[in-house]
Amino acid sequence: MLKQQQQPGSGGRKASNGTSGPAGMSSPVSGINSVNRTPAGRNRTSAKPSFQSTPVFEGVYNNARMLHFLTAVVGSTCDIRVKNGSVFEGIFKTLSSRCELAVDAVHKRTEEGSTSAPPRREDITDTMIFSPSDLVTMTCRDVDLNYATRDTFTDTAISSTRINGEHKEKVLQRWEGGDSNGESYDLENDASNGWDANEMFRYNEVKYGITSTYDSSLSMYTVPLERGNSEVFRQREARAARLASEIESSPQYRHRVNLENDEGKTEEDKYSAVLRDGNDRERGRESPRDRERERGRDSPGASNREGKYIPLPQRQREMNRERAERGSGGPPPHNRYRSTPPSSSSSSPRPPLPSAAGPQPGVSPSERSSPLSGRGGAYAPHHPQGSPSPGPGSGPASPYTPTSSAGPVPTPTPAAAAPSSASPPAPHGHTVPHSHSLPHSLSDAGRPVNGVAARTSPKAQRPPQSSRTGRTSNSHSQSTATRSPKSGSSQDTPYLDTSSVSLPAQKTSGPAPLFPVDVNEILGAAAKERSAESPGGTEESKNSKAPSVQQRSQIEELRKFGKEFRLQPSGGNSSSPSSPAAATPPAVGEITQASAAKPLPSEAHSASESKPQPSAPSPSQSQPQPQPSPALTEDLKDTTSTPATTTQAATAPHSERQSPAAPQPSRTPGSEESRSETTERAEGVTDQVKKSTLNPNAKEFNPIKPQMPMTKPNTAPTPPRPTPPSPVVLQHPGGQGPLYNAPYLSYVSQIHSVQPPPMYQYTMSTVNQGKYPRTKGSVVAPRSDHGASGPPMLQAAASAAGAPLVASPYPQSYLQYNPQQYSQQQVIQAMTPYPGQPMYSMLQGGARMIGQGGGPHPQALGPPGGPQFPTQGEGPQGPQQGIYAPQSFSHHSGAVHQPQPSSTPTGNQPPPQHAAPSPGQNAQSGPQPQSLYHSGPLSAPTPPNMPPGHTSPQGSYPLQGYSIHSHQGIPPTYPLGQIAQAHVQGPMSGPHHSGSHGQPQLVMLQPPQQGPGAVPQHPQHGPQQGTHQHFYIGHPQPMQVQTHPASFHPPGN
Amino acid sequence: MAAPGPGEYFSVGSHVSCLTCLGQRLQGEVVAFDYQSKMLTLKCASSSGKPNLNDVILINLAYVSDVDIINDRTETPPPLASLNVSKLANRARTEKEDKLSQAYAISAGVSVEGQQLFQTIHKTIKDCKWQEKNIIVMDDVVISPPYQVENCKGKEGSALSHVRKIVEKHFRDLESQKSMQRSQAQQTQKDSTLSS
Repeated sequence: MLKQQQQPGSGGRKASNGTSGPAGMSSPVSGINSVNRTPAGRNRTSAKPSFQSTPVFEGVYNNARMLHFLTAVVGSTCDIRVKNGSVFEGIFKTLSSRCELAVDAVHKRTEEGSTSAPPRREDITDTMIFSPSDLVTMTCRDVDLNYATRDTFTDTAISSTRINGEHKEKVLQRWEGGDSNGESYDLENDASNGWDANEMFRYNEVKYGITSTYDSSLSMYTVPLERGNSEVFRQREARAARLASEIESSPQYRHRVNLENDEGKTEEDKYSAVLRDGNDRERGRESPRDRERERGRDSPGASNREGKYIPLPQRQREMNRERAERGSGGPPPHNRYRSTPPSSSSSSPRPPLPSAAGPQPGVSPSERSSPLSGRGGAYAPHHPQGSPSPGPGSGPASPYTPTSSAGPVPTPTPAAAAPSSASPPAPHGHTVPHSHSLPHSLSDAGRPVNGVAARTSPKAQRPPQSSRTGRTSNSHSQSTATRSPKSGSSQDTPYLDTSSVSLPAQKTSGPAPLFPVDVNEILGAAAKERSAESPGGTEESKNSKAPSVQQRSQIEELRKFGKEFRLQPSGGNSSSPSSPAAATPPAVGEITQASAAKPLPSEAHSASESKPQPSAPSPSQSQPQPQPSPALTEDLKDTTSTPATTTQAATAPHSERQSPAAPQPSRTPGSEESRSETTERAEGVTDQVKKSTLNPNAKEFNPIKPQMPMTKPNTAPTPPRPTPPSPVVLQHPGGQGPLYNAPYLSYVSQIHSVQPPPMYQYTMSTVNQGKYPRTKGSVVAPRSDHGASGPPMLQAAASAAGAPLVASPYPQSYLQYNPQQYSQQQVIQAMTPYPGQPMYSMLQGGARMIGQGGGPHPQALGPPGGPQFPTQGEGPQGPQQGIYAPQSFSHHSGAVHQPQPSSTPTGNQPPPQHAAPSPGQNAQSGPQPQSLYHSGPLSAPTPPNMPPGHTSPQGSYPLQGYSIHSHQGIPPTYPLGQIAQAHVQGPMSGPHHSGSHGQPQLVMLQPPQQGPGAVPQHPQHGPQQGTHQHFYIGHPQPMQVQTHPASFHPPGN
Repeated sequence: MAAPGPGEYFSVGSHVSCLTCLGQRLQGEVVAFDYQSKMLTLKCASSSGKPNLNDVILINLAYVSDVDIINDRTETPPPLASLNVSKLANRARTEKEDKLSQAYAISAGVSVEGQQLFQTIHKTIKDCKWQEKNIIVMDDVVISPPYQVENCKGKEGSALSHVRKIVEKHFRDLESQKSMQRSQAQQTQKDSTLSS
C-alpha cells in the first residue's frame, strides 16, 4: 500500500492548468475547428451547463454536502497522507467528480506534523493530483469554514466578530423592545437624546463600581464665562450677536449650509446611480433626430445624454437616426453594406441589408436599410432569442413582412430589437427566423432577402427586376410570405421542406450555421449563381432579365415597403418597414426603431412564443410538409415538366424564388400565377401589400405570427398563396441549373419581395438554422456577409434578399416557406430530386431553413451583388450568381444533395470569409467552398467565417458542415444552417453542435451586422440553434422529409 | 463499533472516531459522507486550539478501520450556505503565491532570522515579499541582511518608520523570549541545584 502512494503523486501530477478544477479536469473544451471536436466540445459544454443548471452531476459532485465542505477548504493548507504513509502538504485547489484532489504548491513533508522547516522551492511541485485510491486522509488545518460564507451583518457574523483582536463568541441578547415592531414606539415622543449622562454614570457605578469624575462645568478644560453687567461685556456681547447675525444672513453662508444639508435634493437625487435629465428624455421621446441634431450641435447635449440612462430601444433609435443622419442618404449605408458584403462575410451581411434597403428605396432607402441592417443585426440577436418561439410560426410572418420590405422586417425586428434593443428590421427578420425554427435561417433568409433585394436590387437588380422582379419579387415575397403563412397550410410547408431539403442541406452544412448571413448570402449567391448558371442554360437569360426586373420591382417594392414600413410600424405590421427603409431612410430608421422597439417586444414575445410555440410552427410546417409533399409532387411534376430534374425540387424552391426574382417565375406559369396570386393577395391585403410585395410577405408573416404570437405578419395569408413560386420552381427544375436557378429565382423573389424573407425567416427560423449550418459549410463567406448584413438584411432586404440568397437557402427557405405554402411542393420536388438532402431540409424544416438561409444567402448574394450592383448592377450579380451557381453545382455534383446546398453555402461562405474580396472571393469562394465542403477547403473557408462571427464556433460549424458533407451528401444541407452544422454534429451530437454552431453563426452574423445586437442574438441563436440542431439531427437521420419536418418543426418551435 | 456496512450512511452531525491504516486515530463530527467514493469528511476542533477555526479531515474509508460512532446526530444539519467561490479561488491563489515566494526565499539561502522576521512582518503587513535575500515591504522599504533596524532602507516616511518599529519589536520580542528561556533555564538549573 505504501509503495503505491508515490504513484498518486507522480502519476497524479499534472500541469497546473490541467488541475484547474473539476470542471477543467473533466471537461477541457478543445478546438472547435474539427467537426468531431466540435461535437465533443458541445457535449462537454452542454455537460457543464447541465451541471450548473440541472442536478446531473457526476460522482462526488452529486453529494452537495461533500462538495460544500471540500469547496469550503479550497485555498487552505492541507496535509495529504497517502497509502505509503508519506505526507504531502499543499494548498488544496479543487477536486474532480471522482474525488481526485488537486493540490497546488505541494511539498513532501519529512516529519510528521512538523510545520517548521519551510520547503525549498525545488521541493515544491506546482500541482499534484491525488487519486482517491491513494488517499488515506486529507487534513486541512485551521480552516475557517465560514471564510467563503461569512457576511458582515448577520447575527452569526456579529456574534463572531473579533473584539479588540479577541475571538470571543459574543453572547447575543434577545431584543426586548416590545412585541410590536416599533409600531408603538414613537421616536418623536422620546425627548431624551439617548441615555442621559447621569444615567450612564449611575449605571456604571452600580454595575461596575466606577465612579465618574465628570464635571459638567468642564473646569479642567476651560474657564467659565463670567457674565457681568459691565459696559464692556455688554458691548462685546452685542457685537458678537451682530457678527453672528451678519454671518448667518449672508448668502454665502446659506449656500454653504445648504450644501452641507443637501437641501432641495431627494434621496434619489443624491444616491441614484442613474442620472436622468428630464429634458433630454423628453427630447429623445420627441424626436431622435432632434436629439441627434442637438448632439451634433452642441457637445453638452451629447454629454448629457451620455450621462443619462438611455433605454436600449431608444439608443437603437438614436443610433439609427445617427446612421441615417450620417448617411444622410441611402448611399452611405449602401456603401457600407455593399462594401462590407463584398469585403467579408461579416461585412457582407450588413451590406446586403443596406443593399436591400438601398435598392428598393433608392439611395435613402439604402441608408435606412443600412441602419436597419445594423439594427437588424442587433435585432437579429434579439430575434434569435425571441425568434425561437414565434419565429417559425408567427415570427416568420412578422419577419417576412419586415423582410419583404425593410419595413416589415423592421417591425418584426422591432420586437426582437426591442428586447435586444439593437438592429430593428434585419434583426427582426433574423430574429424571427431564428426564433421560429432557425435563427440563422431567419437571419439568413432575411439576409438573403436583403442581399438579394439589396444586392440584386441595388442597381442591376432593380432595373431588371422592376418589371419581373417587381412582380416576381412581390409575388415571390408574397409567395414566400404566403408560404410561410401557409406553412401552416400544406403547400407552403412542402415547398419549404423541399427547398430546405435540397438547398438547405448543402447550405446548412457549411456556412449556414456560422453565418446565417453567409448562408443567406451564399444561398443568395448560389441562387444567383444557380439562376445565372441554370438560367444561363434555360433560365439564366430569364434570370438575368428577371433579376433586373426583379431588382427594379424590388426597389419599387422597397420604396413601397418603406412607406408601408412606416405604416406597419404604426400599424404593427412589420412588412411595410422594409419599404420604409427604401422610401425614407430616416423615417424608416425611426419607424423601424420605433417599430422595432415596440414591435420587437411583440416580436420578442412572439419569438419567445415562437420558441415555445416552435412546435406550433413545426406543426404547421409538418402539416405543410405533408401538404407540400402533394404540392411538391405536383410542383415536381410541374418543375420536372418545365425545368428540370431532381434538382427541380430543390431548384423548385430556388426556382420559385428565382422565378420571382428572375425570369423563370414569369416564364413558369406557376410562378407567374403565383406572382399574380401573390400580387393579388398582396393587393388584397391592406395597403401594405399594395405598397410593396413586402407587404404581402408581411401578410404571410402575419399568418405565421398568428400561429405564433407574432401573427403580425399580417398579410402573411396572402403570401402563402404566393405559392406561385412553386410554379417558378417548376421552371427551374428544368435542370439543376433550374434548381439553382429556382433558388435564385426564389431568392430573387424573396429579395424582391423582401417581405417574403421575413416570412422565411419566421418559418425558416428553425429551418434556417439547419440551413445555416449547411450554408456555413458551403457558404461560409456568404454567411459572413449574411451575418454582417444578415441582420440588416433581415430587416429590410433580408426578407427580400433572403429569397435570392435562399437559392441554396431558398430551398430551405422555400421549404419553410413552401412548407407553409409552396415550400412543401417544392420540397417534395426537391426531395425527390435530392433524396438525402431534400429530405433533410424537409425534416429540418429545410424550407424554413432555406427561407432563412435564403434570406441570409440573398444577403450574402446581396453583398456581392451589392458591390456589384453599385458598380455594375446586374453584371455583378451575374458573376456572383455564377460563382454561387458553380458552387452549388459542385456541391450538388460532389454530394448529390450537398452540392446544391453546399454549393450555395460554400459560395456564400467563401464570400463571407473573404467578404471583403467579396466579388472575386465569391467566385473563388464558390470553388473553394465546394472543395471545402467536400473536403478541407470548406473547413478553411469556414474557419474564416468563424473568426468573423465567432472564430472558434464558426470554425466548428464549418467543420461540422464539412463533416456532414463528407459524411453524407445530405450534410451539406445541414451545413446550410448553423443548425446544419449542429446537425452535422448532431448526427455526431446534433443538438449540441447545432446549439453551439448556431450561436457562433449567430455571433458571426451579429458581429458583422452590429456589435451589440449581434451578441444578444447569438445567445438567442444558440438556444434556437440548439433546438434546430435537434431538428437537424433529426433531419440527417430521418432523411425522410416528412418525419424530419415534423421533428424539426418541433425543435424549431 | 462495527464498520459501516455498504449502504450504511453516516448521519451528518454524528461524532465518529476511526483508525486509519497508518495508525492515526481520528475523531470528529461528520459533516459529509459520500457512499460511492467512500469518502467521509469530519470536522474537528482546530489542532491549534483557535476558536472559530476547525480542522477538516477527508477520510478515505477504504483505509480506515475501527469506525466507532460516538454519538448520533442530534438534530438536523443546518442548510448549506452558498460559497463565494471567487473568494476561495483567490485564497487558493494567494496562499500558493505566498508559499512559493517563501520557498524562493529559502532557496535563496535566507537566514533563519530573516525568515522569522519576514513572518513577523507578514503578519502585520501582507504586502511584503522576498527579493533575493531582501525583504520588500509595500514596495517601499527594503530590508537587507542581517535584517536589523538599521538595515531598513527606503523613502523616509511613515512606511519606513512603521517597518522599523516592527523590526525593532520583532527583535525585542525575540530577545525577551531568549531571556525568558534563559531565565527559565537558569531557574531550572537553580531548582535542580537546590533540589540537588
